[in-house]
Amino acid sequence: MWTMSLTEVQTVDVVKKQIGYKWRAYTGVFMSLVIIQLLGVLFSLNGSGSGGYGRTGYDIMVQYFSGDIIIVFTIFWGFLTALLFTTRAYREDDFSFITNRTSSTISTILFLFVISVIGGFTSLLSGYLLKVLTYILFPEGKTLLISNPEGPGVWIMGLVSVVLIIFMFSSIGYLAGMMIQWNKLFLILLPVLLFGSMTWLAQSGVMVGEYFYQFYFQEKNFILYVMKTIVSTTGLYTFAAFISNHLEVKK
Amino acid sequence: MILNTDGLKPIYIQVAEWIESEILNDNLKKDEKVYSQYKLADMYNINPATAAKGLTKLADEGILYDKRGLGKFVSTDAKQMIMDKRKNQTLKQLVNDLITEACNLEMSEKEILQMVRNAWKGETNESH
Amino acid sequence: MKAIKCKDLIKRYRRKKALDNLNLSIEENRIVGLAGRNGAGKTTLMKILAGLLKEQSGIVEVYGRRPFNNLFVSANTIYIDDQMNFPSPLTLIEILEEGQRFYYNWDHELALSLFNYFGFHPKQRHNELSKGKESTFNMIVGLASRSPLTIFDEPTTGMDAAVRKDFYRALLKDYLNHPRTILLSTHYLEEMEDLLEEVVLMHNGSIFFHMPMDDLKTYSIGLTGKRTVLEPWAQEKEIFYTHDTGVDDRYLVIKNNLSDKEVEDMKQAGIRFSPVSASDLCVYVTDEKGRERGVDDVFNRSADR
Repeated sequence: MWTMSLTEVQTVDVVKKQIGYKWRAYTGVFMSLVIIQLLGVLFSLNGSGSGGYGRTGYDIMVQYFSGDIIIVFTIFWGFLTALLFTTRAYREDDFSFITNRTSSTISTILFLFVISVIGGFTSLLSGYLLKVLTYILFPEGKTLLISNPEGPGVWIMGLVSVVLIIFMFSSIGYLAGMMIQWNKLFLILLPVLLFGSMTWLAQSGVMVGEYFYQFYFQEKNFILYVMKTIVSTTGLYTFAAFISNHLEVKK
Repeated sequence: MILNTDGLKPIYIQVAEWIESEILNDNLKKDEKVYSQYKLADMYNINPATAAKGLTKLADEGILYDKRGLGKFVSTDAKQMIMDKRKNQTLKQLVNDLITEACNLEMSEKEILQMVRNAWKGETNESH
Repeated sequence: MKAIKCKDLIKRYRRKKALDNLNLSIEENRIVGLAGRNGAGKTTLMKILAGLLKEQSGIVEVYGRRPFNNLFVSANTIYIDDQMNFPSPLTLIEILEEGQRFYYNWDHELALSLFNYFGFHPKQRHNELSKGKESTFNMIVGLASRSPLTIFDEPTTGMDAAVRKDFYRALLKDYLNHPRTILLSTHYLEEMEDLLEEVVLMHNGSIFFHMPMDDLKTYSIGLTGKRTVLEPWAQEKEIFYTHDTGVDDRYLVIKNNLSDKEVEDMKQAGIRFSPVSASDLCVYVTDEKGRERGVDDVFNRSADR
């Protein structure tokens, strides 16, 4: 006769299954990525800066286009997506099948990393789309395409930088989301604390935003930049995981 | 057989009684294997533990016997045992109930015996 | 090993004690019905067993391990209620395929056969289903998972009578082929009585009683007769329910520990006996409103005014 046997499972095994499950279930994430990057391209077409020179009969119009807006939009997308994953509906999706909080959190973080890579890669590709579009849309101008004058090595470094920054912002979103799930008060408290302290510090001469920008974005040493973002991201996710371990599902 | 789920009689007793009828009707002969608790549960849409209880009851009474690991089988004199049991218990109870009701209706012994006689005649005539 | 073990289990929500020193032990491979009024704590208990909620204090074990945040318990348990959440982009068939990927004992053939039998369309989505259809689909997931501990919390919500009947049959059939521990709560206890091996009745966050269904069905007995005739007999008996009908008729539910002699004498006195269903008894014993007339009282009072 058939007898029921109990199954011992490995966390790694369940995490793998959960990532696959998310990949198939959350196609909406990629839809929103496409939309947000197209929006980014559209905004970029406006030009990020321009200057005009007029001298001895010649008028020179110079317009700069850059893919920065696309990257900024993608970072924002990473933040929002992570925030979304902490909501009850998404966490309950996990618990409809085998999981515990650890495997749920790890699989979500790894999934967020995967989509950060995709987001980073496509945001760079969107940069090319932008270049092609400017070439088509402004045929009367002389378009100077500056494409990877430094070669593929630098391009890959750029990709890594973008991916890491998206991933870091996803960790911020994830932590914020978890704090809000833990106590709804944080929904108000977080922005108040963030902007409050920034304003307060600004009055005493410390520009947090500027410092943040310099600390991460203006880091010239690539290795140092990688270290900084990875350490920050790990710290943020660890804290979020700590909170999630205490959350109940299906109240 | 359809189980009577509204009656006072527990399901497992009804199952046991059904197996007894199968033995009386020679649908189950001596030393033949009786349906398993799972088969009975499936047939009657009941929990197998209930079916098992019915089988155990018959085994306790000696109507069935156990072959270790093989299931339950019909005892050699199962048929006689069932008939004796029904005469001494079931029929006796029915007669008691009959008398009680007759008393409630203030019938005399003579009247009720007459009724029994008539019914007996009707029954035996029909079968001819 | 016990499938479920709880000792002095306490769960408190902000205002209310949902579980209050609950003690329970359930053997493996039984179908157990969890009965009780709304708010008795059935859902809380089931969610704690499934590891979804965290107990405040006490011991809770599923196959010897504490369920909260436990991967082993999650892998060997499935919790099905009427508020199952599945990702909205997935079609019904895709959800079943995910189930197959996750659950080690999953029977996909069974899942697909039931899926077709109940007339689902592969491309349908979970949030497009009616309540009854949703419950039917969830039930398929619960059965196909073949989890050693399968928990159904109100699995029949919205199902019509025919589907409920099919569900009971499917549950029994699959249980006979693949015995496992099944814990289920339902508002249709009377429909499931014959399927259950044991009944656990919860009341105010603890276990009121836990007994085999066969015992429960004969645990009490209904007596009907003239009030004046019944009263002397009812003395020193444990009375679960009293209901007066007509001018001087009374219906009593008492503990069924009468001797043959007593039964005989009562019959002589014109008292009629009737069985009390397990579900009725569960309602009677957990009725806190004086065990007298129930909701009738409300209407009688307003009529007096």
